[in-house]
Amino acid sequence: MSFLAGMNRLSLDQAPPLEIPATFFLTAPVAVIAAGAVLLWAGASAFQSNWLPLVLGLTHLGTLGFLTMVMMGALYQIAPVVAGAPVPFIRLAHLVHVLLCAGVAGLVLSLTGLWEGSTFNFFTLVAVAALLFVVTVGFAVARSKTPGETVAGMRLALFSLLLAVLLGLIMARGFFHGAFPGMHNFWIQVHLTTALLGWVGGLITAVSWQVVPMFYLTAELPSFRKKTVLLLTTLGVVLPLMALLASQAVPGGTSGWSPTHVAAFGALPAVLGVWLLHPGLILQNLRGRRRKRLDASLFFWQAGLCLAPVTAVVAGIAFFADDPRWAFLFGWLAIWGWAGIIVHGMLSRIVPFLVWFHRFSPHIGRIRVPAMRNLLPDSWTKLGLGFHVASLVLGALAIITRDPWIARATGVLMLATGVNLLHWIIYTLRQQPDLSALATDE
Amino acid sequence: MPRTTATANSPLLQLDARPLLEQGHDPLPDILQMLDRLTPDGLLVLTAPFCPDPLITLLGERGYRLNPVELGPNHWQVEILPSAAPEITDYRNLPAPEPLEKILTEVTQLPIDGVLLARVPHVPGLLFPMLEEHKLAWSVLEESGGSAIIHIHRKEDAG
Repeated sequence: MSFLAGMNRLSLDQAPPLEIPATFFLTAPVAVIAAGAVLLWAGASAFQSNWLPLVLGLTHLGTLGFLTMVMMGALYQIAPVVAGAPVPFIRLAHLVHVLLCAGVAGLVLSLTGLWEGSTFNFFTLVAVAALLFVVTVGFAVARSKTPGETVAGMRLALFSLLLAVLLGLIMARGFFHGAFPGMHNFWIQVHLTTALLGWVGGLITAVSWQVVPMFYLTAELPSFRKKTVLLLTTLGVVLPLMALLASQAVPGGTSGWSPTHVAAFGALPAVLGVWLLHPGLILQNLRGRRRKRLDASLFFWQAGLCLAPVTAVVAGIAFFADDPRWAFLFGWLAIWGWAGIIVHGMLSRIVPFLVWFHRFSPHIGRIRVPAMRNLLPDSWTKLGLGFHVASLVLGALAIITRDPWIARATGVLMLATGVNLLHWIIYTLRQQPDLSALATDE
Repeated sequence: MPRTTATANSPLLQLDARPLLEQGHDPLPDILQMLDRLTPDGLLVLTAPFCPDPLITLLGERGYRLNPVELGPNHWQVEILPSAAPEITDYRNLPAPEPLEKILTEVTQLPIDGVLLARVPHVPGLLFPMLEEHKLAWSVLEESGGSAIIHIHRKEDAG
């Protein structure tokens, strides 16, 4: 019997089985290992030109293979809890996973020249995976009657993912079939904004409103501050898109301004919201946390959030500078720095929690159940942070100096980061309650 | 101010005496009426603009336990517990999911008709279906700042 009126209820039957997020989480470190191997093999040639297929492959290994892989797995779990509604046809998640894995693997192999497959077909696989994901998870999130910025942010993130994938598909078709729909830089600018700021930024900010107060015992942020970040991010996604639509409807209709400049200035509100305001708010909130115990996942949040404003500054310089190293540095900091570190840290919280929740919590009171924090040694997470930060710093140095050995050393450190991550995810997922005592009693 | 979520006969009740006092009414009859509706193992949360010392004395003499806390200027909260009610265990300084872990561990040891009263940092949505699986009755009162008080009652053997 409950006296709590109007509260969203989650039946355990509605929660997706552990294997669904687990398969996504297990695959994500493989992308990091693959990226490390590519860097080790290619050395500094991976930082020569933005237009090299190898660079395109590495970038999508990071954005799709690692970030999107984790974010999709996490959303399958979080969306029903936050939205209060189950994801329909949840078993389709396995198909999404297979399509995404096949698409990313094929993309990387074809772009690095290791396989003669059609790159466009692999982009299509990724697009189908994203479409299936957005339709099913979006159904749960769209139906949600839960008010609040987390659900609104999830809606924005899903909308942005759909846009980013559609733009990517159109661009891929243009690249590989010789019919690019417009100016390369303009389209890439809009694609970047929707993918990095809308999809990745939208989800990181939305999830942070929920998990930071829960995990680190901070105060709830005032609603208007969260709404401001959400509004700025939405504006920053919509304005470049409108510029793109306008350029298609009225070619040359940007009053003498370069369309790329229009798209970049349109993205400024999202840059302000995601890379300046959000980190400021969360870092300030974390300083006032009630729980002072140091936790490795907290370091990930702090490191990632501190990198956000640096990413914004480098993005600005990269936009105006002719030296392509700035663009590389921006991509490196945004994908492997800001987003990569936060996502890596979140895994260290989500995986043990899911294992504890699904496998151990039903047996509380019947057998001895370990505490969640004992399922994953904190030292392994800290080691992962060390590898991750070291590879980030060395990678930045490799981009600046274009030294092949520093680039290869970065590859080694990325390999170590991926192996460490894969190792502790497998270790945590293999933990099972000891039911022998229960069997003896019965 | 706590959100009104409890209903009649709930083990968790609340009363904000400030509007009554502003209108010149004595809130004592309302408080006594609510205490009559309170289950013997429940909790009444009273909000007042000052520490109600005479009330504390009066109800203390009747066997209630009262915990007054100053939340801010002209803002007091008094927890009123009947003699049979357990103390409120405070888990507000534990990050998620430790309150969930602690509560689940404690409630599985509750005897039949036993009660656990706990204060947690957030309304633990994931806990409620798990409590129902253990055949435990629960009610919750959300407080200002997002924390919540949960009353958990084992009415029968979970088997």
